[in-house]
Amino acid sequence: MSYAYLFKYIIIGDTGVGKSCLLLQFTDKRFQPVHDLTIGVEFGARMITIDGKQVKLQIWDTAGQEAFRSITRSYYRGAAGALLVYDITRRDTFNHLTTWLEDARQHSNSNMVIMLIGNKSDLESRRDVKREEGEAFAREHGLIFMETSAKTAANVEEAFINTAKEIYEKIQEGVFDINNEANGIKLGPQHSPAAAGGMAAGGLGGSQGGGCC
Amino acid sequence: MARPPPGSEAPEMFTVDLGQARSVRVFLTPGDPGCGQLVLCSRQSQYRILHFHCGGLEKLVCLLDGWKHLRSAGPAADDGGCRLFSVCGPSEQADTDHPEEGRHDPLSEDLWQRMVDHDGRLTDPDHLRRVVFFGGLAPSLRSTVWPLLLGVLSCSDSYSERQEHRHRLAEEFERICALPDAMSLSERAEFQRLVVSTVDKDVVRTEPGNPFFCGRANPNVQTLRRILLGFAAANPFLGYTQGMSDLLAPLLVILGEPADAFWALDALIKRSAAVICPRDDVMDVQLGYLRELLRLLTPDFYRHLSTVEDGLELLFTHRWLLLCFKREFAEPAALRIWEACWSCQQTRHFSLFVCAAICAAYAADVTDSAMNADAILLHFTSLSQHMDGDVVLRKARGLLYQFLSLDEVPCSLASLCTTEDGAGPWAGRRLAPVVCKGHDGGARCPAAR
Repeated sequence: MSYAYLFKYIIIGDTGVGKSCLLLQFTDKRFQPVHDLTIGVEFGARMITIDGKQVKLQIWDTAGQEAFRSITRSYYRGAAGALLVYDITRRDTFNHLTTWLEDARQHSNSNMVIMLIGNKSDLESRRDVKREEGEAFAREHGLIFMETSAKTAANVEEAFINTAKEIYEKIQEGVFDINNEANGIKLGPQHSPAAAGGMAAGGLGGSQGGGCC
Repeated sequence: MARPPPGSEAPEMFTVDLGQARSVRVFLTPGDPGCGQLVLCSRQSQYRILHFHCGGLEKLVCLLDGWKHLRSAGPAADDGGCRLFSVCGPSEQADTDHPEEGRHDPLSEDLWQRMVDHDGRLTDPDHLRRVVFFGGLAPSLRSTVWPLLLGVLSCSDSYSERQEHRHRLAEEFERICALPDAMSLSERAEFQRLVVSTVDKDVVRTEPGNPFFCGRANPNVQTLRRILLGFAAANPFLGYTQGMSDLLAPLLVILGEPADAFWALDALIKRSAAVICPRDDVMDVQLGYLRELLRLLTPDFYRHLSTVEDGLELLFTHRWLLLCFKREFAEPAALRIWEACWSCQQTRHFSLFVCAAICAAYAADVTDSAMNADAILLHFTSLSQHMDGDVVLRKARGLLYQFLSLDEVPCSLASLCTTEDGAGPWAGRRLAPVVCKGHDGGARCPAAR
């Protein structure tokens, strides 16, 4: 399936907040609590439709530990959207948001759309950060906010798609220069004279290549 | 041919429009006619890798060759379609092999018995290292040989001396495990916050697919935890860094005893050139060496990187270095690479030659289709678990030989093959004279006496 636009996203936040699980829930519609620890960066991709147009989200899932911050900074460049994730059951992860946000603002382009996500909303009984606190932080810093559960899939689609809608609106308003790839937006092959097609179909559309027969 | 994994919704058949492909490459397996991998790359850098285990690839090569001729005979192809079809055979590399290539069989039980005297002392430790470097070793010998390669145990000790030393190390390990109990309240709170909470989250997601570690309340997972907490308590400066659990897991599987695994990890972190903690300075030094090596050994790829924005940051190599290729290759191949690195033949930085070898073997696509930094990272990430470890190792040995045969070594790489920064098992030698190539801002040459 060929796309009209490709948006680059980055998922950031403390270790263990559920970044990889959010990605997997979004790309594969499944929850896998036990997965390999992310070292460096992992990739996922999914096609969505906005305003009747096919938009491909290319999502960079990063490692959360403090020690990897300097590496993670290199991944911000050219991202159109960022999902900044904390865990509603661990206040520490909420307290670190300011540092993450500073990093993101400093190393990305100024138009990057940032979505604040309070993950693990299914663990209401262990809640340590009130919903209102997340909302207040988002309001104060001009971010979109949502609480999600990668486990039950609640709001996961919405989180990724609403971010894309915001980016799309910015394109419509002319805020993003779509001809500059440093903005994290690429025009799809169907916009080039070579016409539609794409290396389509079958297993090729998935998140990553590969797979042994 | 391309059977989807059970439960996946992918259809059993798929079509590929070659006109929309960026490249089609065939990697032939050495010594196995018609076997290898067919790698299809879309213009969005998505890869499909088809493995041919039972031959047949040669027929496809003929077919695609015909298609290529047909295309090149037609009007000039500037429609952005696939212009690249190539066969990457191993034959090209024979002339760049290390001269000792193929002269050593893997270390067998039999050969091992002949290497030690009746007390268990190794008569020629260097011979052991050379055999492991070129030939690898039988998996059954790993638990015996790894502690020697890593320098935990001494080759010049007898069996009984080694046993005694192991006992002392086991006692020391128990003492280290008790360190957190002796911490003050505030120290313990800090330790809990910085180390324990992360280790607890990480051990359960370390090789979750490996039967040795899977399942709830698996005692081996608890052992991982104990070792990592002990290491962080005994080395407050290093602490715990994500990735350590990945490196520790195979050590525990192979060595079995927690204390043995602990000391192997300790040696790996402290004595090898591995980048266990991604501190900027450690990583920067390694990346600096690697940039220079790529400039010398894979000039086309280097030239491309230097024209790409941020290309020379070498982001795609970070995980290679952090986990010593563990996620890039299937485990048997990854362990052979570890052993080759630990055997420290002529350099303690063999891992950098492995990086260069991966580039030499798999970066043609990057250069040919002029990928930017993001696409390069995607390219190598998609290749993880699909690269041929033996081809890469052989190439790495060849590149090391090529490096050691240079007429002169730039001063930036002067310490790559010397004994200066690590005596004992990491011994090597420098062959060519070091030549200063000048430094930014008139800085003093590190190789100057």
